[in-house]
Amino acid sequence: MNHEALTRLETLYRDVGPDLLSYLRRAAGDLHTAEDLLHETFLQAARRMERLSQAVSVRAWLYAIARNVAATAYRRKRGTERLPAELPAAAAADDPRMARMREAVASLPETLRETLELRLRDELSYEEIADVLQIPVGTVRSRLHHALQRLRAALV
Amino acid sequence: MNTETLDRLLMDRALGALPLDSDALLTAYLDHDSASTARAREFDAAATAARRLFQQPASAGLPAFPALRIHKLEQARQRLRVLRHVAGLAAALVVGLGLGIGLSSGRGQRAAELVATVSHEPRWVSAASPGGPQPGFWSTQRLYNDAREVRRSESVRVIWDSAVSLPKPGGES
Repeated sequence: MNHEALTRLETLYRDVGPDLLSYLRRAAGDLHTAEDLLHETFLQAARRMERLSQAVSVRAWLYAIARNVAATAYRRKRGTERLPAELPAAAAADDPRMARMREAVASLPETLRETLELRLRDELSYEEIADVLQIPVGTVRSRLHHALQRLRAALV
Repeated sequence: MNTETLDRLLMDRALGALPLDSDALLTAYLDHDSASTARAREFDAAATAARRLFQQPASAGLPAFPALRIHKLEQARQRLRVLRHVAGLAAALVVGLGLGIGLSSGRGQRAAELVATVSHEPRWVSAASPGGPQPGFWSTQRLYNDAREVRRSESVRVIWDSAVSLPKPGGES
């Protein structure tokens, strides 16, 4: 890898790294593991730098790698269930509506919840989410709508 | 507007995914439809609450960029590339040598067979000596003798005494 590619990767690390660390922390459950996974994500990215120019979105490309890295780590640990989300308990305690929202989010199917998080927390576009999850954009939109309808029903 | 279509637009709006011009048109529509406006508020509230719930506290900080690990990875990849190249050359050499040895041993074997075949001739020739018993009409010995006679009668002497002229037949040998 030449110096220019390494510099570019380092720039991406500083730009997208914080969001990826947050994403991996949700997947891993603890900060230390998330940091290891973040490094592994960028090592994988370094191996595939030639694909960066073909990526529709650099953020989506990195998120996709991070997702695979987290999934591999999960399989190694033989985890069969996703770790519970790190939802701020304080926010839920202050407001009963937020407590209902917390329950509603926790009850969402894994696919809907993951898609919703990528949109509302990581602020990826529909197209980027489709790239990360390797699903059509229409499916992304459908999942988000189903999730939002369920959350709306919980608040009404 | 169809309820299903309206809901899809309202949800895209709540999720921040509606293009600006579409958002403006929808807002103008909602200004004239109070029922749809109430529905829009419900979706907005759900999305806002979910966003608030998903907000992470600020993390301790980004760990250092793993430049050394990436450098070592690149070195390992380069070593692997060189090893693969050398292995490919070695494989090509082994295959070439193997083919060469196989071909040359095959020719040697055929030469040995020819010598063995030729070595049988003196015995057959001595069996066909004048005065001895004549071989049968369809016997191998008679056919062989006939073939030798035909070959002898067909042999022609060639005269080629000049490099600038073509060779020419020069009578019986």
